[in-house]
Amino acid sequence: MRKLLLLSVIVLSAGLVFAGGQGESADGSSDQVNLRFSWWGGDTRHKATLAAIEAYEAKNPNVKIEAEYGGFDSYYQKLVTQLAGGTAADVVQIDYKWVHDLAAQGEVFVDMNTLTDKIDMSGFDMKFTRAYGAHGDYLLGLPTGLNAFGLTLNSPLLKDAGIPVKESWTWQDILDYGGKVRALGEDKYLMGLQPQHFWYVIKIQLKQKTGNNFIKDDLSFGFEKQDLVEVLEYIDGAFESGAFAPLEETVLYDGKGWDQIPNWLNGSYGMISSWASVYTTVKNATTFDMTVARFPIPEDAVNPGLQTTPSQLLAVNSRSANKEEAIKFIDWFFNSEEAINILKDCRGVPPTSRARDILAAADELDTDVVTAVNLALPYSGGPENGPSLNKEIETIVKDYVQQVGYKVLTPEEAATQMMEDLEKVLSQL
Amino acid sequence: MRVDIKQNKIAAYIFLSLLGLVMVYPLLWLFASSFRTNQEIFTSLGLIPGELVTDAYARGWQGSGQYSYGTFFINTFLMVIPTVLGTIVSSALVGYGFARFRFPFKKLLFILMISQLMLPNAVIIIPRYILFRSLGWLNTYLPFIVPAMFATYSFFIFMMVQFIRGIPKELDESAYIDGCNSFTIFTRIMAPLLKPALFSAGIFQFIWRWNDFLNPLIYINSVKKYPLSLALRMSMDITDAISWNQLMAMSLLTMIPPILIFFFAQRYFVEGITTTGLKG
Repeated sequence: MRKLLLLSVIVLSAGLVFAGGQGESADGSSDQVNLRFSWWGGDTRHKATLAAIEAYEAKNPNVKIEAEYGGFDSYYQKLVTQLAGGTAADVVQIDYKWVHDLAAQGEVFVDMNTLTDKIDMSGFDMKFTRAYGAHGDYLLGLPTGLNAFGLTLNSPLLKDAGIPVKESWTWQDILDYGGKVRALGEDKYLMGLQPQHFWYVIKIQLKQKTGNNFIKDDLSFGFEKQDLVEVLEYIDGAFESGAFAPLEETVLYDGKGWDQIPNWLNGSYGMISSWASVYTTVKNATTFDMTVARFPIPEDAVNPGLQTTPSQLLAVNSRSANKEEAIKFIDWFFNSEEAINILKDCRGVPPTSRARDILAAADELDTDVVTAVNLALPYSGGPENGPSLNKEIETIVKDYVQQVGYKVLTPEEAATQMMEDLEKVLSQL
Repeated sequence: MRVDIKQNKIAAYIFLSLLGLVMVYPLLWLFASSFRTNQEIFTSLGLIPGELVTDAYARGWQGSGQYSYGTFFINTFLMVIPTVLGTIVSSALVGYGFARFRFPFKKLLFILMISQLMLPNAVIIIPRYILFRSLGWLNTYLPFIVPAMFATYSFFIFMMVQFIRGIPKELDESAYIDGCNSFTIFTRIMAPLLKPALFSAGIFQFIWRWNDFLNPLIYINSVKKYPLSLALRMSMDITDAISWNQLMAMSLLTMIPPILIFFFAQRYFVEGITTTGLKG
């Protein structure tokens, strides 16, 4: 019994000691600046960014940068909590998809428009930057890289099937060539798409037909019902003819990277849709020759509709106590030759023309990735607006595509019900 | 007849062994995958690696960048052990109070305590976060340890209450006659009898805290203070090639402490689960 009593005392005090020991010590001298920088990424990005931070600290001995990094999962949840609690890092990496939601919380990040004299933005494509990083006039962050949605081709399979390995595709091509790939074997399909990718197929095809975003700024549909029916009929037809791999097969791996999907790795798909930023990852996992191509554009497109976006944005916390230092760091991060050479393409194709030139000269960029971005940039469908990026809307669309894929609903029925459901969500926005 | 029984037994053993194999297979696969290449991990379900990768453990241990898994293991222990011990001691004391004493508003307090069980975690994340921020406890392990010391896990309190209710009151009374006061009744009579319940609470809490991802994610910022659950996710990002064999290797190491604890305390654990709420 004594033991137990003793134990409880030890536990209570040990806990306090352990925990107390973890507390931050107060800042040393007044010149010493502690910055916090939070980002998500994989090992390559972590290592490159840490090396960059080290280089910056070496040049600025009075600045100490605390790195807070992790994977993408739950990053947003943590960021939102920190913003609510006023404890977000000084320099924060954010996704362009969050811009509208974050801006709705007030001016949580420093408006980059006010920093044009402190950060050299001459290398950036400011039209592109504003299109994705701004909410109205309020510019939340600067893009860390360029990214584009396109196709990755399995060259040997296409060659075997007698299909040209070309850069530009139309939606009709996909239907036409589907049969040739099917002829190679029961498990071979021309195009592998995960359920998540049908959202892109739908919104891009609709934009190509109408020139509008999926949802317009005034919260009305950017398309007529007939357009949606036609797109769903196309998808239905592509499943029917075997041009698209069946959902039963791809649904198992929804949301996973292509580098983890057996049917792509063992060469069963002729092409996949994917972001340029993950190309290298997929290439490292794949054993056959891969090449990049543009996402399909029909010949009569009103708008080419392709998706080109920033990889991420870098923002300065407006409640930071060390804004000046954070801004100086960002300027160095984007513009100094030293940083460019250390960071390379760890955040996608660099956003500034100068960085692209430096890295291209040093042969540091994966040519396929640059090609993928360059193929898409001139055909960009323009930025999406907040409602078109809404997660609830995406979920509804994905649901109905699956019902079409599984033959539960005809395209006509699915279009009617989808629009009814979408209207309910829109009335609440 | 005898042959029949024997045959039945053999059939049962074969069936159970196969079932056991099915259950253990994911673990075996995890182990085997730590010796394989990425490509093979995703295309084969077998156990024998085609191309043997032997450096996954050594390289995985290095972590990405600044800190090795040694740091993450120590961090996890620093966070989990005081939390678990605090939970056991405080829940037992509070449970004893609810089970044996009469005090004002007891029913109301009990209802409040139980209603916490129904409260979804998501609702209280932000208020709790702001509270800990005001206390200056962010980026330390205090948000885990201090609440545990004040019996904030209602599930364990409830478990203790149920268990203590199963212990005959006559024991308390005879101890009282022998000269014990309420506190010594707890330490001398209750604590030894509560052992199975204490062990169950300890094991549950250990495994839950060990596996907890969301709370450390929110309260811990510095990578040097990351526990294992965050460390494992550190390099899992869609934009980069993940070295799955290293991740599998580290996952396997991460699982060892909870498994060991479970095996060593299994006897008490089973006893604690099966007898909770039974009349003694």
